[in-house]
Amino acid sequence: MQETNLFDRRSTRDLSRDIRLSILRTHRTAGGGHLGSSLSIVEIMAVLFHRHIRPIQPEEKTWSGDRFVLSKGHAALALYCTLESTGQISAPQLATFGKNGSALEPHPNENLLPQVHVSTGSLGQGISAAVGLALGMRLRQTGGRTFVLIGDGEANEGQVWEAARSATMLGLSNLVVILDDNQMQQDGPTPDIMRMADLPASWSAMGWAVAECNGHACNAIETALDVLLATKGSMPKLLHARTVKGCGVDFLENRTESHYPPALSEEELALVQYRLQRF
Amino acid sequence: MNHSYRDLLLAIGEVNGLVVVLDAGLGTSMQTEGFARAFPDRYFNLGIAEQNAVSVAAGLARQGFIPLVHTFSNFLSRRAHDQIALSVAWPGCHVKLVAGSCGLFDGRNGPSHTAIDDLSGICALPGMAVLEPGDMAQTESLLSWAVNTPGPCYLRLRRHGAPQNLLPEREHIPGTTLVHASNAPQCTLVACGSMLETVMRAAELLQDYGCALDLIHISRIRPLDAAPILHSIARSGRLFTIENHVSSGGASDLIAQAIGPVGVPHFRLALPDEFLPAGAPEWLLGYCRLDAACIAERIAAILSGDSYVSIYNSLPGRSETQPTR
Repeated sequence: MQETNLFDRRSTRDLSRDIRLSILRTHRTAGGGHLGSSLSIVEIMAVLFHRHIRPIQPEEKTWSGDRFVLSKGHAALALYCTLESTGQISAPQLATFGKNGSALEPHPNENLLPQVHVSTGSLGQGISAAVGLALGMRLRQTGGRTFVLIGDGEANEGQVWEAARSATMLGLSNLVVILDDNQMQQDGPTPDIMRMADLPASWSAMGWAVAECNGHACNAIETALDVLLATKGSMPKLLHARTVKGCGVDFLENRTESHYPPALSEEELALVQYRLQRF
Repeated sequence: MNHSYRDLLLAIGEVNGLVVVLDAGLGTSMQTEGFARAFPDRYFNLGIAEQNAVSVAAGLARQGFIPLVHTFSNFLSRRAHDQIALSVAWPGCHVKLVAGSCGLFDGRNGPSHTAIDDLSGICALPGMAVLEPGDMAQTESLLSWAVNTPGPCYLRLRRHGAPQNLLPEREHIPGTTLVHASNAPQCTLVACGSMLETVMRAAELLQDYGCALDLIHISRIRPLDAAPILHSIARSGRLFTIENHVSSGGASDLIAQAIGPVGVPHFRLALPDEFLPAGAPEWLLGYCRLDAACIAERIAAILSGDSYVSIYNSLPGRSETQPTR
């Protein structure tokens, strides 16, 4: 189904390490940004963009192919670094992140960056737009799939649940939601702020096909996604990924301060790089 | 031939296979059932969840469809404003928001269901076209224009008792229409959207008592074509705008911005600065001092100055200016 030669065949583990370092360097250049949320989804993004979502070629009809929606738009830095790893944006363009007037805004803006399929930033809206995309693909019979990444903090938004219910009602088997469940949000641990019921059970109860995995183990993500995508029937699909906010930077992991920390110093960056390359 | 929104929607669905209708649980009120029956593959009732419906429409538009999202203006503009702004207006999606509640004309159910303020937020959104027809014949051309014109659009419709056909000649492009012109007008009346019928009657009263005027109707509030208004006020020197919305942020404000540099006195006849009581349209028009007699009186009072009393007393229907129940 997929043309494998379009993807980087290095291991997604190696690709993830590169993307993580790219995020840290870009964050340092920019002098700030939503770092913790970006580090939380690195492995998910590497698997999605190097194994599943083919870049849309400029000559293709606009509605063919797969689509990706970063519903938790504040993790845009991870999206940009992943797109740079697939060659869809250049290194000099990536370096403009955080600069005034850059096309790489802190939240993805499709008007400025065509590689962004849906502009996001206001939580809860991306998943609904993904429902519309998946429905449109089905009406057009394009065979395309819509992948959408949401966060557990984002799941506080009522719109997420409106979208989830509508997806099962519409029978959107071509919709794949990846839930980045790092148990954190801007103000602290999600369970301390707005505790969500057992998320996989909730989605399962709404009629979704649910798979779970460690969101930082690339093999586990790949296997779970393969199983999910092979699921027959009309159910939309949820991959529940257990993740760590700030993953890869030990002094930021699971810490509230990881949400929008200042740039790492050269020494900190060197230390993180050393540790990442050893594992 | 009499039109209903039900028939107009069905007709546009037959002409254009890309039109998709979304409901947010108010399909029977929004008259979408004919379309639903005729085109079940292009009809989706997404339940009482406006925010999702608006963002889903934005996704459908990206697949080349033309989604028409239906619910009442009050719910659409208040509950789903962020979705209208960011899912639809920001990317400029080809989404049509069919807002089925038109100020006091659909005020039977009280403040929760009465859209007195929807235009203020919607008109402030970059790239948003805002349409409000004066009658059903115009609704037909506006719906067609909306579906065939790329970009986001808000269509504010009167659900109950809209007049059929008020104007002899129909302009198929929504905009600003000179309905009546005088040789030496004392004032320019601009009827905004649904106020056309009432303002036409008020204009007749004023003319019966010797007032020469120009009457202009706007069916497209944004982007506004101000040229006919500017042309008229250059001759009349006085502008009255009559609208079915609070004075702040509606059509009067957009007109005021357009005519600002001209410096002509501009009087706004709009909904009062309050949440309206529940009531039938005729009663609410009186309550808001916006029925034909009240409009004529208010305009006469301003125009006549010293001779105000004589015109005021000679106007028929003075007793209608107070609510009767």
